[in-house]
Amino acid sequence: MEQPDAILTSLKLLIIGESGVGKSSLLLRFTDDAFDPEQAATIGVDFKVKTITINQDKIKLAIWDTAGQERFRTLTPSYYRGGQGAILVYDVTNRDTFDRVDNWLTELETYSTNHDIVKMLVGNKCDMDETRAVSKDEGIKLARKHQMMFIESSAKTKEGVQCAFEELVEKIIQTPGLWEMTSDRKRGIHVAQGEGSTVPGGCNYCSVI
Amino acid sequence: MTHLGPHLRHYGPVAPAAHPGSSTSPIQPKLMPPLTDTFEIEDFTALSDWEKFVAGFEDILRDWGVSHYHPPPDPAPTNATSPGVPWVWRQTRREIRFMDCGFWVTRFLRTLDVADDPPTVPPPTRSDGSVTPGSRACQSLMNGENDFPCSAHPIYYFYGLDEFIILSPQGTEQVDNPTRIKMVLGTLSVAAHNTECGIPMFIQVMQRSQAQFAGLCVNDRFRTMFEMAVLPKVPSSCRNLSEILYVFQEKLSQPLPMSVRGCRCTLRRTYRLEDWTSHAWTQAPPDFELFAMFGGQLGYLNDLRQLPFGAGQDPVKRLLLNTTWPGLVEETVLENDVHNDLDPLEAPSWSVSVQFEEQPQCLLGQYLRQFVKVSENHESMLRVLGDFFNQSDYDVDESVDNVPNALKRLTGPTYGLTDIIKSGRSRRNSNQPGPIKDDYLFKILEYLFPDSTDKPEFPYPQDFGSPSHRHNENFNNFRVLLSTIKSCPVDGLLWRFTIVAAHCLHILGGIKPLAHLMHEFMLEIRFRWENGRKLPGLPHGPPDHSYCLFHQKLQMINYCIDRKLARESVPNQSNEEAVTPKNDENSDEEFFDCDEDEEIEVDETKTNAADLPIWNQKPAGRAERLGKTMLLHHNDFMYVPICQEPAPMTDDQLAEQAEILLQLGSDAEGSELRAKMQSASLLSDMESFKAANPGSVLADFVRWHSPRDWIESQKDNGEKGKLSVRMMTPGNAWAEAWESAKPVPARRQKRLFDDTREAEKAIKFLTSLKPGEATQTLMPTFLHAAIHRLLLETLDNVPNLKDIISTVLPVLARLARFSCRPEVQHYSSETLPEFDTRTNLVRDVVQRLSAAEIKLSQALSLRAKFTKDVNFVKEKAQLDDQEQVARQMEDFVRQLYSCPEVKVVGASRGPAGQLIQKMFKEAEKATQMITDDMEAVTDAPLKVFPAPVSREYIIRVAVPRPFPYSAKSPQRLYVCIKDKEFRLAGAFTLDKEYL
Ligand SMILES: Nc1nc2c(ncn2[C@@H]2O[C@H](COP(=O)(O)OP(=O)(O)OP(=O)(O)O)[C@@H](O)[C@H]2O)c(=O)[nH]1
Ligand SMILES: [Mg+2]
Repeated sequence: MEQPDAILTSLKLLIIGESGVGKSSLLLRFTDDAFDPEQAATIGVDFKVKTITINQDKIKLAIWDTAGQERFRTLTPSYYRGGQGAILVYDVTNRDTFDRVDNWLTELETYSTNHDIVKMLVGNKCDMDETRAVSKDEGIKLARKHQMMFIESSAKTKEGVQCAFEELVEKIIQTPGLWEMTSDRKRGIHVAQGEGSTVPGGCNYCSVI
Repeated sequence: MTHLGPHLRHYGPVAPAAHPGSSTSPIQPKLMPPLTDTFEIEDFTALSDWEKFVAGFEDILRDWGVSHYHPPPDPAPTNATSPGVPWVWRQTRREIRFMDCGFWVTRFLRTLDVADDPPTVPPPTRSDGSVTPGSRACQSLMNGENDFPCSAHPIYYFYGLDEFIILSPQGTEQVDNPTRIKMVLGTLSVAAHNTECGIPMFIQVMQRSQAQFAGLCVNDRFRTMFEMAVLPKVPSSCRNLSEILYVFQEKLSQPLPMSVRGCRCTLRRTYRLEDWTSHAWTQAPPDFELFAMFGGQLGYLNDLRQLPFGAGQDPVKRLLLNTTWPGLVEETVLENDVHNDLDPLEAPSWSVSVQFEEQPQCLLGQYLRQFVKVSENHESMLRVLGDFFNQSDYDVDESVDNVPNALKRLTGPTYGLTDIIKSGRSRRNSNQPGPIKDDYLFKILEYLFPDSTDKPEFPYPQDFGSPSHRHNENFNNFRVLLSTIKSCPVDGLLWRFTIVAAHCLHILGGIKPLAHLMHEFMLEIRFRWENGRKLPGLPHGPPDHSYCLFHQKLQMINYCIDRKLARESVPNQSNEEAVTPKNDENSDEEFFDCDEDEEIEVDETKTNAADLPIWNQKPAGRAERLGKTMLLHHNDFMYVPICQEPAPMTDDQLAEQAEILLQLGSDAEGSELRAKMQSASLLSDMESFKAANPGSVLADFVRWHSPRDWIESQKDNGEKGKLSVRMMTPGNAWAEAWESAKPVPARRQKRLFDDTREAEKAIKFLTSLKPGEATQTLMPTFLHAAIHRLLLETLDNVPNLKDIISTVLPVLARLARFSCRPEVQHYSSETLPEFDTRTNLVRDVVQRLSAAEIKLSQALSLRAKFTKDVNFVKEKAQLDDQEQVARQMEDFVRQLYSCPEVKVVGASRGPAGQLIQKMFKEAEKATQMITDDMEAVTDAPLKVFPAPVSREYIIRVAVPRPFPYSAKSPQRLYVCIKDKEFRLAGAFTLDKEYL
């Protein structure tokens, strides 16, 4: 029989984007509810785990945080393999990081093994409104263009962080064929989910605001 | 005919129930004893059971809402065969018991395919007391539009009825003795009267397979009895139309004699074609001998470059031709003992249907199943190959130098494989022949390694990514999906290897030749690595993770060969450089120093070269100048250093690495350790940078490496800018690494990527695969090749095939997410449940692809039969437009494939008709063993058709029965004469008015 707190599934999420946009800070906020202004620039890849509950189902997340620096780019994409969700971060106060989202999408397309990987565009540092260089509308437009979800967040003030991760996970769970039930849950249950014969089509676009 | 007669007497009219109102009570059914002496129930002991049975049946009818229901005639009866009318049969089924015997009560209704349920509220036809003589059943019996419907319920076929109820015994029970038949028929009769249900009701009698029924239909005015007889042989009184008409008249002359005129006759003759002669479509398996002798010149039939496809026996089993004469007036046609007007070539209507082999043996399917089977084999190479296999062949060989000098440094463009094999590259116990004959082996190796000959017959495509060799449009439709299945480039080295492996398995006799092939393949790979010759047929660059692990390993080996060649191509550098640093000055890297056309603005506050420690005064390993950027504290431009590329990894190495990173834990300490583990390339970059930029500081490095961490100063106080907070934090990983970095150019650093070790690792991985394991890792490529083969054959007019492929590909994409055991066993000891998942997915795909092959074979066979002889058809049918004929025939084939029965336009004179005649004629010649010459000499024209397999007759007439003054009522007789079966199905109606 199924234990009450059995894990429904384990998911692999990726955080990608230019250096310094706040990827590691977002992750730290989500997992430890903390903010560290002295957070070191990431070398290679790092990761954290967290278990969350969505619709009474426990889901274990392994979140891979990648270095945004150019010189690490030959290394990090290898870890995209098997990722079911990706968070693409840009810095709302830095136009350049927004303009490069396209490159990251291409990279994701090239290296991710799941073609229906769920993507969320996150405009971070929205607490710094005075130096904002990218409007929310532009973010929404870009997300729509590439069928991504979208949210603005601040790792510093918490705004949008929890929501970004949860919505992403929920969307993954709703995508058949993208994930597999953990083996202990599968026993005795008819494997209705995760049967990958349908191609999830349509528009993934969704605004979480 | 004696079979039909008595029924009427026994089951004659039953008076309606006297108290219609009380008949609603299920517990006390008001069963009136039969009023006429013709209805006899002898066994009264069963009365109460029978009563229950009747009541139960009536309840069902009421439940269905068909009591007081007299289906009115259809205002616009539709032709069953009219295309595009979405007719469907609806069935509702209930259960009922009689003593210990269970029955099904099933209501059948043919309606238009609309979402609603069958009408449960019948139109009140009774209220005005006028039931039109033409009830729905009467209309159906006389409607000649729907004669000989295909794949229909027997009742519909025999009587044309499109609404009826059948009572049939469950399980193996059968109603076969006359008393029982009588009893059940009585039930129907009583129930029909009590409920006033005008739907025809039947009981299934005798063996189910005989499709034999007895039944009745009652309304206010008429009573129709349905009677059937099935005999193993045609009785002497029923052999032709004349005799059948006589029997029909006799039957209608009961109970009162009458003369019957103006019967309408619909006739059909069916002919069977099973010998396809020259129109047969069969595929032979590929042939090694032919390939070895002629290469690919004989066309794809014998071509080993593809997986095979098609059926060994024709997948179309037979063709049935129906020739039909609809609605003839009885006087206009004659068929009796001596005379026969019915020439099938003159029949106004032709239709054909085809029957497919149920389990055709298809080649691709056989390959698929065998490949899967071998993947479950656990024997080692040694076990499979025995003495022939020499493990030491694979081991790192110190005696490389012993390989003949001519081979060691291959300077010419080619070298002979044959020589190598003979020279004992495989130091086998050489007098022992291998499982693959030598001449086959050379041919295969030449095909896999075409660069080993001067003029390769099958060179690899130049560019694997180009769409040029996705010639077929079908491929484009699936391109995106095909890229997700993690196999290998089409027609690349591994692709060819996989296909040849499949051929070895199937044609050369199983796992032994497969193991031999693998053995030779790996010997060649090791040879190439050791001799610095690149493997052909692989895309350039480091392992591409979108391909399977096997392919990644091959790419890794190639990448290592590249690196090794690159290392060795710079003569002596690595050795001498260290000894004579003077060389540096003249080497190309220092080019930038000489290129200065700009003067460096000397800043007094900064250091100069002379101020630096002696070992760091000379810059080394510069790639290019970074614009005009100056170092912060030294009087020089900033230079981008030559850096080491980070080490590429294959999937398994990556997974292993990820596993290690994961094991460090999720906390801050783990993060720190991970950063340390991965900082090798950062440190290497720093050292290169320091070497290229003497006098540089961390901030300089950051400006190049991570520009966003350098904040340009807005102020004009001479300060250029500052590092970001995270870079300035004391003790951060970057500052620490910078401290420990020494100025060493990339080429003198410890290699981040050890090509020798990596190549050996990759070769080790591949050579340690057991034959069965190898097939597991090759499975995605093999399945891809199978799909590729199907797509090469795919026609647009094969329904479902594309659907099958597009449902298979996502399964394969899912499969790509799972490793098989041999891919992970060298670093993970866990037995993961994903192995099973993968196996199940493979089985699923194999099954679907086999089904697709069968479907495609059927369609191709039909095409081969009907679309090849366009010229013949054109001439015979006297049509001018070749294209139009071709299109017509394509259309005909498409219908044949998707419809159970297809009308032949123009009957015998139409294009398809001409071709069908030709087929029958050829088959006839073949059975009579007549050659074309003989045909020319004999005068008697050759018969086109063999004897018909069935002759069917439908006779209809509307006459007043039983009295001359009764209303006209429908009478109908269906007769079918076959070799081993004779069937009569009559529907005889009486006007009840004056009975
Ligand atoms: N004001 C503000 N600052 C932020 C926010 N998120 C991150 N930062 C700061 O931005 C800087 C970079 O943050 P990181 O999280 O290290 O950036 P990263 O994307 O992980 O960078 P790499 O690891 O180099 O790819 C840090 O100094 C953070 O304190 C935010 O939401 N608001
Ligand atoms: Mg980071």
